[in-house]
Amino acid sequence: MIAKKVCLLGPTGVGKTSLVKRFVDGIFSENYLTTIGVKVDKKTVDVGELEIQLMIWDMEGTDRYCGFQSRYLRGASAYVVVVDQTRAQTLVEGMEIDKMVKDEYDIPSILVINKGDLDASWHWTQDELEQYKRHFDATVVTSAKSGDNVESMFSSLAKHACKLRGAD
Amino acid sequence: MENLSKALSVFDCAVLKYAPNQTLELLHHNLPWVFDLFETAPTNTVIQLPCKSLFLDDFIQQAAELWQTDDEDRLNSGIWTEQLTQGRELHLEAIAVNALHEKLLVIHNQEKQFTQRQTTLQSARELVIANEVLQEQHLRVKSKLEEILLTSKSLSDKFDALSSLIEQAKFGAIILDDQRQPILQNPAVFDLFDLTFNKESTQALNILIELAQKQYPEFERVMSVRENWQGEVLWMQPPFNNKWLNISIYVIGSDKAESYHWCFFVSDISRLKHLQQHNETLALHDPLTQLPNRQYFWRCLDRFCHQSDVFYVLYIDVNHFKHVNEAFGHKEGDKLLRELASRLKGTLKKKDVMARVGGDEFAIILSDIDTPEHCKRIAERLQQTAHDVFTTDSNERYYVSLSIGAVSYPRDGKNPETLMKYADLAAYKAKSDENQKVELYHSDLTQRSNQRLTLESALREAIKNNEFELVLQPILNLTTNKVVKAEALIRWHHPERGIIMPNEFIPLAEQTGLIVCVGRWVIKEGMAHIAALAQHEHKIKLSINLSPRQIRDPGLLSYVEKQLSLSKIDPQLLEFELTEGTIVSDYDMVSKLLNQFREKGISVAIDDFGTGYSSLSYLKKLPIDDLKIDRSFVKDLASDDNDKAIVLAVLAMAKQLQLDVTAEGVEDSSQRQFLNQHNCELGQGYLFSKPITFDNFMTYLRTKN
Repeated sequence: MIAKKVCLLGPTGVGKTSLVKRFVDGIFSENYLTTIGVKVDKKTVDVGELEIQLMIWDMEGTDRYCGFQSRYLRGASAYVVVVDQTRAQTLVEGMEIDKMVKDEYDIPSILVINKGDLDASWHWTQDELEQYKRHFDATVVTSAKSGDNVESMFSSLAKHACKLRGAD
Repeated sequence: MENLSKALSVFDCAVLKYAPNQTLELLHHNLPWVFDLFETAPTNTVIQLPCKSLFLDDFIQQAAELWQTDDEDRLNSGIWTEQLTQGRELHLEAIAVNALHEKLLVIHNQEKQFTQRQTTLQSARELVIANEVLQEQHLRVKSKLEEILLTSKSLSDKFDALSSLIEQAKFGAIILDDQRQPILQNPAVFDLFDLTFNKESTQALNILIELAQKQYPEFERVMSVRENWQGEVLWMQPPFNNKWLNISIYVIGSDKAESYHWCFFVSDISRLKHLQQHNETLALHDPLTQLPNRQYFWRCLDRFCHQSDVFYVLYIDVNHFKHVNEAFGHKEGDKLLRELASRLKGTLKKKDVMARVGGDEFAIILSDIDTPEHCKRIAERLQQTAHDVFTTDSNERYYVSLSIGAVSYPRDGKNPETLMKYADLAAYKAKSDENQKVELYHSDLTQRSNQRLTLESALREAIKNNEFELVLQPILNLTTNKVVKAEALIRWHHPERGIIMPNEFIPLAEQTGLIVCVGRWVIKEGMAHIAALAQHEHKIKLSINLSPRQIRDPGLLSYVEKQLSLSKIDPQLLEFELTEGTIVSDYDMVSKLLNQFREKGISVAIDDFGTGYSSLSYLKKLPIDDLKIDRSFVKDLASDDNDKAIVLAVLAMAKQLQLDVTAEGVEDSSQRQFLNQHNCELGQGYLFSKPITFDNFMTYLRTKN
C-alpha cells in the first residue's frame, strides 16, 4: 500500500473539517466548530488496482488569527484549496493561499468549491472563474452536507498525489 | 532527576532524548497520554520510531534535521490534535531543542490552551464570517442596483427591476433620490423597527438618520460630502426592545451627474453583538490590531470629558488604504493596519488612549499637553513613524501617509460628540489638502465646509450653463522644436469669481461624482478641437486627463466610442492621461479599459510618473505609450543630482520598454539642454508656452510648425 500525505488548506469556515469528516466518517454536522492547529486523519482509497492510504492533514483556516504555515506541506504529494461558494471573498483568499504554496512547492492541487448545496454568491464572470481554475490541476464543486462529489474529489486527489494518468 | 520529574509532571509534558540510531529515550514518562503516542510498554524507556502519531512522526523528521546540526536552536510544531479511541482527543504541541549537545523532544499537553483558544476563536471567527457575509450581501445588491440605476432608462422604466431586487434582499433597504426622499423601500426595513410597511412613509428612514446622527458625530459631514459610509447603531425601544443595526450607505451616481441616489442597507446584527459582548476581549477590543475599539474609546472620551484637565483628540485616517488592499491583497492590508497600530502606539505615552475607530481610522486621546504646538509636534511624530517603509510578504516595499485632525478639550468642544465631529472635520480637511497632513480644528473649518456646499451647487450650475473652457498647452519635440502634441486643460469661468483653476474644483467634482459630467464635456470638446485642428491640416495629438472616478464610470467607453463616431476624428490623435494611482486603484478594470482604448487606436500616457507607485510590472503589462515625468523632478534638474538620476533612470527604462517620454514643467533652457542631451524626446512647460486658448494655440502652431 502506498501512503500519501495530502493537505487541506483554505480560509476559515469554508468546510475543510466537514469534508474530512464526511469522507472519513461519513457524517456531517451543522455545528461549526473552528479547527485549532492541525489534525491528521487517514483513509484508504482504491485507485484502479492501487491501494492508497491518504494521510489527510486538515489545517486551521488561514485568517487574521492564524497565518499560513507552509512548513506543514513538507512531504505532501498534493493539496486542496477549499473555498466557500456562498462567500466570494474566500475565493480571493484561497487564491492568495494557493500562490503562497506554489512559491515553495511544486505539487498537484485541486480547487474545491464547497457548500455546493447552497446558492452561490460569486460575482465573477465565468471567464474570470475559468482563469482561477487554470491555476489548479482540477476543480470540484462539493457539498460536505449532502456528500456530493466528496468521495470523487478525494479519489481524484489520490490520483493526483500519485501523478496517475486520468487524474482529472 | 526525581525532582525534575515532579516538576515536569506539573507542566504536563514529556521529555525525550534523541539518539542518532533513530530512537528516542523517555526521560520523563509518568504521564499516561505518552503511551497513546508511542508503541512501547510503560516499563520500557527506549522508543523505536516511527511512532503512532502521523503528525509527530512528520515533526520528528523535521526535528532530526535540526538535531543533526550543531546549531543551538529550537523548532516548534504548533498545536495538533491526536484522535484516540472512543472519541477521545489529545491536544499537543512538540518542541525540538538542540542545546548544549542535548537533543531533546518536549511534548506538552495543551488541553487547556486548546480549549481557551478554541473558545475565543470560535466567537471571533463566527463574527468575522458573519460580517463578511453581511458585507457581501450588501455589496452584491449595491452592484446590481448600480447596474440598474446607471442605465439611461427613465426611473419609471427601472422601477420594476429595482423593486424586485430590494424585495428579495435579505436586509432592510431604502433608495433615496438626491433630495433624500425615499423612492423605494422594502418591507424588511419596516420590520426592523416593528413598523407597518407603507411605501410612502419616511418613518424608518427618519429613525435611521437620527440614530446615525446621534451615535456618529461625523455622519453629517459624510452625508454632506456624499461619501459611502458604514456604521453600527443601537436602537432602543423601551422597555424591552434593543437592536444593534449595521447601516451601510452607498451613493450611486448616474450618467447625469447632477442626479444621484442614496442607498441605505440595514441589517440586524444583535446576535453578533451578543456574541461579541459575551466575550469581553471582543466587546471592547479590535481583534485585528489588538487596540481598544470604538466603543471603548467612546467610554474613555466620556470619562475624560467629566474632568477639568485639558486634553487633545486626534482623528487619524490612513490615506489611500484601499490602494494597498487592492494592490497587494487584503492580508497585506490587515498586516499594514497591525504594523501601523503598533508603530503609532509605540510613540505614545502609556497614559494616552489609542483605538481603532473605523476600517482605516484610529483615534487618540492625548493627555498632559496643553498647547496646540505640542499637539502638532506629537501628530507630526506619528506622521513620521507612519512614513517608514512597509514591506509585503513578497518583499514589495510601499509607503503610506496619514491625515490627522486634532481638537482640544474644552476649547473646541465639551462633549464626545462635538469633539469627534470636529476632529473628523479637521482630518477631512487634512486629507483634501495634499501638503497639510495635520490639521488643528478651528471654526473656519465649519465655515469652509459650508462654502464647499455652495461651490458644489455652483459647479452643478456651471455644467448646465456651459461655463467651462478648454485651454491647450503645447508639447514639443525637443529635437525639431515643433509642436507634436497638446494637453487639454479645463478652466471654469465663474460668473462672480472669475476664472477658477481646476485644482480648486476638480477634487470637489471628483468627490461628488460631477467629474463624470465635467469629464465628458472635456472629451467632447477635446475631440472638437482635434477635428478643428485637422481641418487646418494640423495633425496634432491631444492628451486628455482621466480621473479615477471617470475610469470607474461604466459608460466611459461607450461615450468615447459615440463621440469618436460623431466627431469623425482619427482616434490616433487622441490620448488619455492617467495617474499611477488610478491604475493601481483597480488594476484589472483599468487594464481591460486601456486595452479597449488601444484596440480603437487611442494612446495612453502615464501622468506625474515617478510620484506614485512607479511599479515596473504594470508598465510592462499595460498598453501604455508615453510616460510624463513629473514636474517635481524636472524643476531642479540642473542642480539636483538625485533628480538627474531619476530622470535618467526613467529615460533608460522607457527606452527599453519602447515608450515615449514627455518632461513636464520645463521652464528654463538648462533643463531643456539636459533633456536634449539625454534624448528625452518631448517637453512641455512654460519655456515653450503656458496653457492657451484654442485661437492662440493656432497662432502658436503657425509660428512653430
